[in-house]
Amino acid sequence: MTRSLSLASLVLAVGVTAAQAEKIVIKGSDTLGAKLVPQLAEAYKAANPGTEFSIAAEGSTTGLTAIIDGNADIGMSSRRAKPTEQSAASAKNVTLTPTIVAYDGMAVIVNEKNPIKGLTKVQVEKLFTGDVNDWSAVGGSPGKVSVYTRNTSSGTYSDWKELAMNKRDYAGGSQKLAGNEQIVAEVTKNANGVGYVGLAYIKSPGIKVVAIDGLMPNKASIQSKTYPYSRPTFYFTNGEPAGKAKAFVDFTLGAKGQAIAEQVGFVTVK
Amino acid sequence: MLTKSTVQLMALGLVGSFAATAAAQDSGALIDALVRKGVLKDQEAEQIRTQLSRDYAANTPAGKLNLSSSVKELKLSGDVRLRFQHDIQQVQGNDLNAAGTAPGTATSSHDSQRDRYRLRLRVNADYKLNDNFYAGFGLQTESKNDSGNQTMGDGTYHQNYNIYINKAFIGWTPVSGVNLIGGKQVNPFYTTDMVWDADINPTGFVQRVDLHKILELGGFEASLVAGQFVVSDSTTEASKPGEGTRDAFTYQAQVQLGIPVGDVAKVTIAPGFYWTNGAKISGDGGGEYNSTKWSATGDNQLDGMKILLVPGDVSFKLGSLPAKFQWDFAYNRDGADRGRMYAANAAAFVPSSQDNMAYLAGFQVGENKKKGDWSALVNYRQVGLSAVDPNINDSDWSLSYTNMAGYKAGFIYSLGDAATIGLTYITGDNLRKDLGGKPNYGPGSGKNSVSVIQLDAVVKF
Repeated sequence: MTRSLSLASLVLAVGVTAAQAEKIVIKGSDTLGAKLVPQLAEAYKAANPGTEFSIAAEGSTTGLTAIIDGNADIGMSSRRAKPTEQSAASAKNVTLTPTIVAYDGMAVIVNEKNPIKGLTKVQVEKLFTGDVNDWSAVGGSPGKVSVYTRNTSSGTYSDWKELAMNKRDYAGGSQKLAGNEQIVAEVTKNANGVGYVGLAYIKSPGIKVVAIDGLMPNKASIQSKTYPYSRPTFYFTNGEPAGKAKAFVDFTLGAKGQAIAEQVGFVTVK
Repeated sequence: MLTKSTVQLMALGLVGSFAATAAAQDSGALIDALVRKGVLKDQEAEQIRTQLSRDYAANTPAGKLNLSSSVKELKLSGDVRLRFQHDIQQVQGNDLNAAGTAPGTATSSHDSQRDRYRLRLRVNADYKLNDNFYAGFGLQTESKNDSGNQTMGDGTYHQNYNIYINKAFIGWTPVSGVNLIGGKQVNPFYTTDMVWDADINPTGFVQRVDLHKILELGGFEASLVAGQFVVSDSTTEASKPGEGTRDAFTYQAQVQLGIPVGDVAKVTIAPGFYWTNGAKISGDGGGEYNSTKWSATGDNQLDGMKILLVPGDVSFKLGSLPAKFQWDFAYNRDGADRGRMYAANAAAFVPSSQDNMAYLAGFQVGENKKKGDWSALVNYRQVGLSAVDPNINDSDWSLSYTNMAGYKAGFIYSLGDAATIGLTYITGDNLRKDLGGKPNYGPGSGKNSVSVIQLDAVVKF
C-alpha cells in the first residue's frame, strides 16, 4: 500500500512539473537561428525559469511552413512571406504576421589574401551570375572565381538574388552551402572564393569584407539604409503574437534582447 | 495643415488602393519611399506589405496558384486552329502508263479531291526550376507526329476527341550556354519544312552549346547542336537477329552561325548532317514517323540516309518590316542506295543525280505580333526522290511526297493581338515522270501533281 502511494505521488509530481514547463517551439532561418535566437533563449530562460525551447534553424522556408502547418510558435525568417505562402496560410485559416526583430547586412566576403578591397553593385551581380568568372575582370589578380551561396531553402538565397543579382540566376558552377559558417569556412580555404554572410560572421578569421560602392556594412550604413544589401529579419506568428510567443517577442524587442542582437552582430530595430 | 497622422493615413490609403489589383506586388518601391521619408515606420510598412501580399494572394488568380517551391516560373500557353483544307492529287499512272491517255488528263479513277474541316488544340506548360533545371509538356489533338489536326466529323456525330502528349521533356543548364535536354521536345535545329515538318517534336536526347554565351565573339553567334532520336523501338529481337534486333535511331549534328552584317542585316547559316543507324523498322514504324510514304520498302525505311544539310537565311528590315531571304539545301550521300531500294520495287527506275538533291529558295516579309500586322511568304523547292527523309518532311507540302517540285505561298493577317487568319497555297509536280505508275511504290512515285489549299483561323492564348 505504502509503495503504491509513493509511485502515485511520483507520477503526479512528474505530471505537474511537465505541465509547469513552458516550451516555445521556434523554427526557420539559419541567419537568426544559428546564434541570435539561441542566445536570446538562454537569456530568456534565465529570466523565466522553467521555460524550454526547441529551436531548429533550417532555413526561412521551413519557418514559414511551420507556422502555416501549426508546428511552431514562432517562425524565424530572413525574408518576407511569398504570396503563395500567404495563400497556403489563408487556406488553413492562418494569418502570417511578421514582426521585425533586427536588421541584417549581407556582407560580400573574399579570402583575406584576395587583393580586392571594393566592388561595385554591377561587379557583384556579374560575379554571382557568372557573367564574370575571373578576378582579373573586376580588378583582382587572375584566378577563376569560386562562388559560394546558401542553399535554396534559405531566405538569404532568395534575398541575395533580389538585392544583388537583379533577380537573375546564380552562376552555373556556384556551390550551395548550408549556412553562414560553411560559407566562411570555404572562402577561408579558397583564395579565389567569394560569398555572402550576415554581419554576425564578418569578423571570422581568414576572410575580409569588401566595400560595396564604397560602403562597408555597419550599423550606420544599415540604419540609414544606404548600404545596398541590408534587410529586416522577422519573427512570424499566426496573427499578432500572443501568450508565450508574445512574451518571447517582447523580450527580443526589449532592451536586453536588442543588446544581445547587437552583441551578436545584428543592427537593432530602435 | 495636415498632421503627420493624417499624412500616414493618406499614405496607407494610397498604397492600399493598389491592393485590389495585381499591381499590389509592385507597390514595394512606394512603401520604401514612404519609409525613407519618415512617413511610415519599418514595422508599419511591413504590416502594409503583408496585407497587400495577403490581398494579392486572396484576390488575384496568380496569388491563388500554389506552385511547388522548386518552380521558379511557369508559362502556360496554347492555341486553337480551325482549318479548311482542299487537296487535289493526280495519280502519275494516269498520264504515263495508261495507253491512249494524254499526259495530264485526269480520269475519275485517277484523280482525287478532298475537302476537310479540321481543328487543332495545343496546350503547353513550360517550367523553370531551381538549380538550372527546366521541364515542360504539351498536349494536342491527334496522335500523328506531324499534325495535330483532328478532322471534324471523323467517327460518330459530334464525337469528342482524344488528347495526346506531344511534348514531355526535362532540361538542364549545367553552365551558362550549355543545355542538355531529354524527352519529346521542340525541334532544336535550325531548319525549313523541306527537311523537318514544324509539327514534329523529336523524341530523344539533345546537347546544345552556345559558344557566344561562353566566349566573347564580338556579336557573332555560334552554336553546336547534336541530337540522337529514338524513332522505333525494335520488337523483333527474338525472331530477327542481326540489324533487326536494334532500336532505330536517327542522328543530326549542326553548327549554327549568326553573322551580323553591320547594323543592316544578319546572315544565318547552319550546316549539318543527318543520318540513321540503318536499323530495320518493324512494319510502318509505329506512330512516331510518317512512314507510310516509304512503306513499299518494308523495314528498310531508314536505310540509305546520310544527308548533308545547309539551311540559312539573310534577314534584314524592309522599311519597318522584318524580311528575309531563306534557303535550304540537302544532298543525300547514300541516295543511290535508297534509289536502288526503290528500283527493286519499280522496274522502270533508272537512277538520276537529281534524286539525291533537294533545295528551297524563298522570301518572307512581315510578322504577326499585334492587331493589324501581316506577313507573307513564297518559296520554291525541288525535292529529289531520295534527297530527304520522307518520314519527317512537311506533311502539307505535296503531302510529304518526294520526287516533287513546286511552290508554297502564304499570307497571314492579325485580326487581333492573339488572333490571325491565313491562306496557304501549295502546289507540286512530279520531278521525274519515268518512275512508274504504281502509286504504292515509294515516295512520290504515284503522284503526278499535288495541290493543297489551306484556310486557317488561329487564336493563341
